[in-house]
Amino acid sequence: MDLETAVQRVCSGDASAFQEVIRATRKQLYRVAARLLGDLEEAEDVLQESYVRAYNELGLGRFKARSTTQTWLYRIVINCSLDWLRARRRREARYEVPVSIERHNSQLEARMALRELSSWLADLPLRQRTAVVLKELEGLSIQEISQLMDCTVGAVEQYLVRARAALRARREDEENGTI
Amino acid sequence: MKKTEQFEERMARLAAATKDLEPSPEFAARAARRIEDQQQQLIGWRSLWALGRKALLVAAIGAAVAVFLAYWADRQLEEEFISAAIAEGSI
Repeated sequence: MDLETAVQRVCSGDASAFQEVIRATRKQLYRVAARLLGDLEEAEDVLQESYVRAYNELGLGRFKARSTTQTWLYRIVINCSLDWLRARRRREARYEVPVSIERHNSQLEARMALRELSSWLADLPLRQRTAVVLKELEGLSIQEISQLMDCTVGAVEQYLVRARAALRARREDEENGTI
Repeated sequence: MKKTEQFEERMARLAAATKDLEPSPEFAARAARRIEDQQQQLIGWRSLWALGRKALLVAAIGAAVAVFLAYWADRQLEEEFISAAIAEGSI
């Protein structure tokens, strides 16, 4: 069963077909959530939340198939991740958040890379961070990113230029020893 | 230019290091369970709403019957009063 058929079946009341939606999309969506959040455990939580949201929207008939199922799911995951990051920033502003103790040693290299990515992009505004992850790591086109982020192509280009400038400035500061 | 290259290189390295990420094996089962819980909750809310609607309908019918009975009783009293008055010859 392909993804579109599975979604149609969920829309017509076959809840079990949603398993197929999860099976077909979980890897790709998990990767984007992990890259946006910089944490594997949080990425699983966000992905779970995203699937629940997607299931509810399908059940309520809110999915109008204006975009592909893949794009629609991508957008839900990005929005859930951004909500999560906003909440995390609020938490971090209020309390000193301790560095989480790793629960698993598997995927150590990926965990370290995600941590590095997360601290590298930490100071960027969330939309710039999202644009950078989608363009540089997910390899999406600017057109696709504008659809996912619900903004114009020009806005995406601006996010990317600003993000690169901010990261470059940060790097220079690091090299000059001001950070 | 060198800095741009370094930016690209760093991105490429991070992309490569995170390209094979996969959720834990229990993920699908946990997501399915959560969706099922959600569904049960939704069914619960729907049946509560259906019950509420039935209760509202019964209350509305009850209220309508009560108003009708009150009106009917009032008419009966009025008719009795008039009949009594006619019988007494006061009208």
